[in-house]
Formats: sequence, C-alpha cells, structure tokens
Amino acid sequence: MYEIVDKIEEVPNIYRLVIREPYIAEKAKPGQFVIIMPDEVGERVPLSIADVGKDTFTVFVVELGISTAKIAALKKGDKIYSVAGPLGMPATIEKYGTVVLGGGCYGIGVLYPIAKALKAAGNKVITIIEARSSYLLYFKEELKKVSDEFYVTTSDGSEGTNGHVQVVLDKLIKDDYHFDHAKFIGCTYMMMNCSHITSPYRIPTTVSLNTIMLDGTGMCGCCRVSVGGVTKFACVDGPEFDGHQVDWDELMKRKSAYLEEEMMSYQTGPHVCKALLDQYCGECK
Amino acid sequence: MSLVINGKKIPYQEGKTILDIARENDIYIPTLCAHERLPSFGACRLCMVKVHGSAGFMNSCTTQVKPGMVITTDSLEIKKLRRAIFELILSEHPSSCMMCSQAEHCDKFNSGIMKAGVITGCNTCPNKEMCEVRKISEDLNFKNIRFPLFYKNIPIERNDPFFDRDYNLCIHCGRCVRVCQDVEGANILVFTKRGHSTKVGTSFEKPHIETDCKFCGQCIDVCPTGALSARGQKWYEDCEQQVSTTCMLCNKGCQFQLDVKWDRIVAIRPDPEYKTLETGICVKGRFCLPVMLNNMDRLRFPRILRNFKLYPTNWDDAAMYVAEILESYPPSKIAIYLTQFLTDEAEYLFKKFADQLEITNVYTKPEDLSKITKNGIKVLYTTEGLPDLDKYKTLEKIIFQEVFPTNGFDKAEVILPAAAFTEESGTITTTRGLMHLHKVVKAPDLALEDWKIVQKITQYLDLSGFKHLEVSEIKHEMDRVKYIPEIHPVDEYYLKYRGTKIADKVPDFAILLQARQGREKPW
Repeated sequence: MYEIVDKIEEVPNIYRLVIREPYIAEKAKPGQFVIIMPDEVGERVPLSIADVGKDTFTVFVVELGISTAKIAALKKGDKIYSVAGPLGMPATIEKYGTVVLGGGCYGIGVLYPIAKALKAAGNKVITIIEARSSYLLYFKEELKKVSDEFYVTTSDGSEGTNGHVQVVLDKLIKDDYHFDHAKFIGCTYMMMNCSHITSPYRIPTTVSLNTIMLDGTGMCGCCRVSVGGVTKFACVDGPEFDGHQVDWDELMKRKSAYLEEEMMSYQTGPHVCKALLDQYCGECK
Repeated sequence: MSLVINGKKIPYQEGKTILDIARENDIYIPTLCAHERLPSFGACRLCMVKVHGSAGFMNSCTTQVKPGMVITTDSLEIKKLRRAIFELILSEHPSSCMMCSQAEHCDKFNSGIMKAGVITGCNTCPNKEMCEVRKISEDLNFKNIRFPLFYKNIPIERNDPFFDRDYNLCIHCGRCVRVCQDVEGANILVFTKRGHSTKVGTSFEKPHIETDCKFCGQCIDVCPTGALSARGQKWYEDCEQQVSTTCMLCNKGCQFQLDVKWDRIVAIRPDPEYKTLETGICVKGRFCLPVMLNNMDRLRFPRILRNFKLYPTNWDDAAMYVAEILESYPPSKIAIYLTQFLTDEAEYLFKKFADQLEITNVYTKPEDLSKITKNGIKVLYTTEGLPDLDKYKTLEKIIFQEVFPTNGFDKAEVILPAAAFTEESGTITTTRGLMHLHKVVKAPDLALEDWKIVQKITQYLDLSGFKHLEVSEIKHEMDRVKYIPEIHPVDEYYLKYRGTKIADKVPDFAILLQARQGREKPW
C-alpha cells in the first residue's frame, strides 16, 4: 500500500497525486511511467511520472473511466493498492539546439520535468500547451519558467490562440523558426495532428504514447503499436516513439477495443479486470 | 376563425399556445425549455416570435393564440435575437467542443466519448448524441460567442445512488423542476438561490437520498443537456436498437423502452408512447434492471451433479437427466414450485406438464413449502431459489431452474439456466390487464426461456402437446382451452426477482434500502 501524500485538483478532471514510494523516487527519470491499481479489481492504469521528490513522486491523473474515477475519489492520506515502476525508457534528453514541446491534458503537467531537463541540457525550449477552455489550463507559471518561449491555445479562444498546438506550431514554422527537435505529450489525437505538421519539414519528432497496458513489462502485448511497420511494445520499447512512423489509425482502433466493457463497468459498479474474469465469472467458480 | 403563421392560414384552436399550433403544422420554432409533458414555463426565450400589432417579440410557448393573429416565426430580426439569446445560454455552458474548429475531425478519430467525471465539452458529455443544446447549435450553425465565457465551477454531485449531477451544464430550463412537481408530484427539485447564483437542487442542498426522492429518474429523461445523468446508463453514445417491453418486477405492468447496444441493455426509460403511464417507472425498473440482468453471475449453462460437483453440460443431457429423475419417483413424491415471475405461457405449460405427469403438488407460495415434509416429497422441481431447503429432511433431489445461483443452488442435483423476462416474449396478466413481453436481448450463453426448458424435458418423457415452436402457439392453446391466468400477488415494493434479492445484485439499491430503513416505503 502506498500513501497519497498530497492530492490537488489542478483543473476539473485533472488531479495531481504525490505518492510516497522512495524506490521509485530514487530511480525515476523524466519520461518514465508507473502503473497504478486503485484497488484489487481495478484496471492497471499507466501514468507518466511528472516529478520526483525526496521519497515521493508525482503523477497527473485524468478521470476518464471507472478506474481513474476510483483514483480521483481517493483523498490525501489514503492508500493506493499497488504501484509498479518506474517503467519504460526515459525520454531522450540531449543538446539538440531549439526544441519545441507540445502538451495537452495530462501532458501539460508531464511536460514540466522534460522541459526542465531539456533546458538544463542547454536547449532553447519553446513550449505550446492546449486546453478546451481557459479554466482547463494549469501549470502555466511553472512551464513559463523553464521555457524560452511559451504559447497557450484554447479550442474556444477564451485564452491565447484560438485553436490547438498544431495551429501555433504551423505558424511558428512558417515564421521561419528552425526546430531541431519536437516532443509531444497529450491525447493521441493531438500527438497525431502535431506529428503530421512536423513531418513535411523533417523535424525529428517524438511522441509519448498512452496505450492500453496490463503488466507494463513486455509480457502481455496489450500495448502493441506499429512503428515504421515494426511491432513495438509501448511499455518496454516506449513510451517515446518517432511520431512520423507511428501507425496512428491502428493505435486509435486499439484504444477503442474495450468501449463496451468500459461502459458496462459503470453498471456493475466496481468492475472486474479482464485478467481476473475467470475468478469472477459465475461459470468458472 | 383562423390565424396566420408565416403567411399560411391556420385554423384557430382555443387554449393552445403559438408553439403548440406551430408544431402541429410542422413549423419549426427552436426551444429548450418547452416539453410536451410539461406546463409552459418560458425560461429559455429561444422560441421568440413576432406577433404583428404588438410591440417587441413574444414567447411562443407561453402566448395563447387569438383569432386573427398574424405571426412570423422566422426573419432576420428574429434570427439575430435567437442567436444572441443562444450565445448567452452557451456562454455559461461548457461549449468548447461546439466552437472547436476540428470538432468533426476529432469525432472521426477519437475512440468514443471520454468518460470524464466533470463534463468540460461535448466530447466528455454522456448526453452528446441526444443533446438538444447541440442540436440547436447545429441548426443555428453556431461557431462563435461574442460574450466572455464563464465556467460556474459548481462541485459535481456524485454522492447519491444512481445519479450523477453536474450543474455546470445546467441552462435553467426548469424541466426537471417541473417534471418533479407537476408530473411526479414529488416536489424534490427546486430552484435554490436566486439571481445569477440560481441553481437547481433539493431544499437545503441535501443529498437526494435524504429527501423523499423516489429515484424515478424522470428529471434525467427530460434534461436537454448532460447535467443530469444515470451513472450506470451512460457513455454508450448511440444505441443500436430501442425495444419496448413490460416490466415484470411487480404486477403493475409498466411499459418501458430499453436501449440496446452490444446485445445488452444499456439504458431504460418509461415508454414515451405509452399514454396510460401518467408518472414514471419506479427505481427498480428504471435503474436496477440493467445492472441486475447484465450481471456476470447469471446462470449460463445447464449443470448436472457428478462427484459432488456441478458440471456444465448441454441441454439434451440435462433434460434427459431431469426426465430420469421424474420417472424414477412416484408422482405423489414430486413437487413443482412455480415462481411468481413466470409468463402466463410458461405457467400454463408447467401446469399442463404437472397434469400429464399426475403431479398434484404444485406450489406457488412460500407457505406451501410446509407441505413438503407432510407429504413426504422427495423431488422438488423449483423455478425459484428457495431459502432453507436443508430443513426439509425428506427431500432427496432438487431440480433448480433459475436466473441466478441463489438459495438452493448448491443443494441442487440439476441446474437449468432460465432466461430473464427481458430475454423472452410472451404475455403476463397484470393489474393493467394483459401485457406483452418482447424479447429485448438474447439470453446469456445456453440459458433458455422457461417454457422451452419444460419442452426440452418432455421430449424424454413421452408426453404429447409439448411441441410448440413459438410462444404464440401456447397462447392460442390457452385461449382454446379457456385457461385464465391469475394476477400474481407481487406488489411494487417486492424486493426480489425470483429467488434473488435485487439489492444483492445492485449495490446502489442496497444503499437506498439501507438509508431508508426506518420509512414505511423505501421510495
């Protein structure tokens, strides 16, 4: 059991959890993730590590289903059933030159340690974040501090540019900005759009994929993605991949594989994970 | 006498509003607060029309027609006015997805609606496909708001069973308040606070479970936005099919409409076409039913006891096994227990079955079970899970035909999985008269309708008259022999379906019963 040292609702639906786990805090590098189970029958939820403290680490949770709803319902001082990590490969941090970063949703929070590390490595960091509306933007001050240039976009135009990360990105490229590297973290749709923008300009692009995951150690194969025609596991080969080579259509389809179970789980309350199905199904007792 | 709408002459009808007359004549007037079941209210102001000869504009939903009225429902001026009103409504309703330039592209690519806790746009809204605000925004081709946007940031309410409430989406149309007051007569929902902080809620903002709320769910059904939603009946986007059937959880015979997707019941609401249904359906039908019948625990395969374990088998083996048991005991030592939840056809067939086998011990009430010891019954064929079967020492074999593995399951010799009432067709006699059941979804795996199970068994017993292919054939036979089914004594507050307590399968219902223990009626 792992104690929640702090829980802050950054904006509606997005929670910052600080969890006590000294081993993860010691080993974690920017870009890695942990897998959290809210309770014994909950799904295993992969979450990017956003920050590490002395014996704690921080994750951003977006409430988007029954298991994340369970996590969102936990309070400061409550215990999490299971935490596994750090998992995956760390983000590649080098001296590229000028780096553009794009973040949305939970990615805004996760972008922070990466921006900080890139800045420390001597890069010029340009950060663009997106949200639906002004009340859904967070971490602006923190990101501003570690970025040389900082842009905000909203879908409804209530703050910053009206539009999305790719709108500003496209404008900057057309304004003769030279980017040596691009990193995008957020929803799959946003990462796909941004990769499509950088692709014609041959800007090396990495995206941090958030696939359905089970064990997170390369055993189950739930997190398969096709990158450049080769099957990769997001949990051990990723989560960072070349955005220009990811098969986005396949990824989107794989992500909607359990829509039925996801909806039905709200009917039967605390749902049964697929792996535990045999124990719970009336026929297999 | 007549009046003129948009240059068209229309007969005058006394007591009707402009909106009523316009709708009857297929003239479209956008509105968000008017509802056919509710009294006029005039909250949204979208239905403004020009009545010639009077100053300004008039609400078509609250203005009664007068002979000779000349009305324009659509002009540039009215369009501008409606647009401004709608912009004001939307400026306080999470509307970012409606104004997003890539909304269509996003819908095409994203994997369904995000099941968010707090709704921050159409893509996180369970009501997306049914939303009336969204429909009007499409009608008005709405892409921009001139006013500053405001998010109310009201904490969402999830502490009640069955309900999720996010009043940040509320447009104050008052439909839920009116349905609660004027249709259901419950007076639970009211406008709390006034002016800009007006909010819908219960008196003193108590949780619904602490009020007299009946959890009928009518407020959810009339809400034009996603502010009110049923926790277990959302996120399925569009349903594949809508089927109407009769509720069998009590003898009232309410009709309801079920949304079906992935061959499962995903939502239930009172049948909109069923006019005798003045109020809504009760909490059992509206909220408990899908949770219960979609449960993983359902009996799915026939089973036979071998080596002290119930092994799954096929129908032929199970039916033959039952036939062997029934043949190896004298009919006087066999009893059949008929549950109150059988269709008329199944009940008739069971009685005919008992008749032909000369089984006279046909029980229908729990009290009848006391006769087991007295008559020295050795075989009990039960269609309902019965408690304390241990105490009847004479019982040697139990044939268990049920929907769930409930009381008596572990003492059974044979398990026969039955279909629930949403999985079969037929008729039932209720206090509303003869009502029809329609098959909504397929029964899980090998589970079969009760009448089909009886027919399976009779195949191995050399009985005649059990070769029906359709349930309607049994109905014809019942009519021919003038069999009159009875109304089962199961009232609205009966808390079981067959042998299973509803609360055992529906955690939220257990919470409701627990919280209202001291009351005469739980809802």
